[in-house]
Amino acid sequence: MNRFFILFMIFLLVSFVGELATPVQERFIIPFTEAIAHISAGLIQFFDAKVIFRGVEIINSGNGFAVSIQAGCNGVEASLVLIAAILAFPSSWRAKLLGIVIGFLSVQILNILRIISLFYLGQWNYDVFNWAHLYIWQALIMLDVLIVFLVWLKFSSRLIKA
Amino acid sequence: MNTIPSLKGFVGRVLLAMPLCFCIWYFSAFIWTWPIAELSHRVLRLFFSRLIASVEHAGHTLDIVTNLGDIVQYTRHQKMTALVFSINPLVYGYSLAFYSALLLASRNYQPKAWLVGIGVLMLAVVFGVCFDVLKSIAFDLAPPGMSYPTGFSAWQLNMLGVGYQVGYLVLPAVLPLMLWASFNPAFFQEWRD
Repeated sequence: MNRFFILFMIFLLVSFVGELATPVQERFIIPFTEAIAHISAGLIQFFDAKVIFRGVEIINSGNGFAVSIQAGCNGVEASLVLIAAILAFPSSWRAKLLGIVIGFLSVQILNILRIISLFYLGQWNYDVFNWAHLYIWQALIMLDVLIVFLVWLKFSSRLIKA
Repeated sequence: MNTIPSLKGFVGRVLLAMPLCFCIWYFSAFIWTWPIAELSHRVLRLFFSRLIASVEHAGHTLDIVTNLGDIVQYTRHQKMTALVFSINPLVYGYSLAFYSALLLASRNYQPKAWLVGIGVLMLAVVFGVCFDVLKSIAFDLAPPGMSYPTGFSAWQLNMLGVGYQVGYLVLPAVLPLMLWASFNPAFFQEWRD
């Protein structure tokens, strides 16, 4: 367990610091975040045609309310936590790759749900929005990371036994 | 032995425990933020007494009294008085409620698991608060186009930024999971088997 924790922290800190570098932000993180805003707005438009997106912002063109997707809200950090945990745990590279791809998608699906829910919570009640944004959803996203990791643990152990 | 019969059961218990833990956490915040204020004050005064006069406990928030009034003089006749701004320690402290929910859900009722875990998480909150204070002074407080003469080098400003991001994005999210895993090793072994 200690070896896992040490490797996990090394992978996490290296990837996290690397993610903060300006070239990485400009070439990957910001375009990725804009894509998340685009996807979120696209999903919302199925039931709310007034919603548009601009860069990393999702805007209600009817009342002017907008949310801006910043660091911590684009699912990148949560994904890095999951990827670091999968890389740190002893398993085959095939299992790691499958876990990273499927895990990343799982985290992003819940993150898009977070963005959409916060967009409407903010229009309903700003205090509730702050609570959900700053505290509750942070914990729920990490719970999702834990669930995905546990599912992957079971799957990777079955691959080893097969 | 703390065993979890199924992932669904565990997740269900976490989701049930979270509202209770978050309510207790929020309504007791005026209590547990007091040691955060004290520790942050000691750390910031120890290393940055030139910039920080005091960290004061104000209910759910921390009021940061800076010494920037002694450093900045706008004109010959005008001197700024002490600059005070507020920090919300709860954005670093949700880890306390989340960790408590994880322990309750895994039926780990060892006092040591809770006390040690909460202690470590409180230190992480102090880390986050201190870097938030320094980041605010270095990057956020000055009027547009200006910066306060904080004395930080370019390298130190970069480290401030990294420290703030680690304290805000990484530690509150990751530490509860790591602490929970370290106090429940049997869970992982049985889960894999």
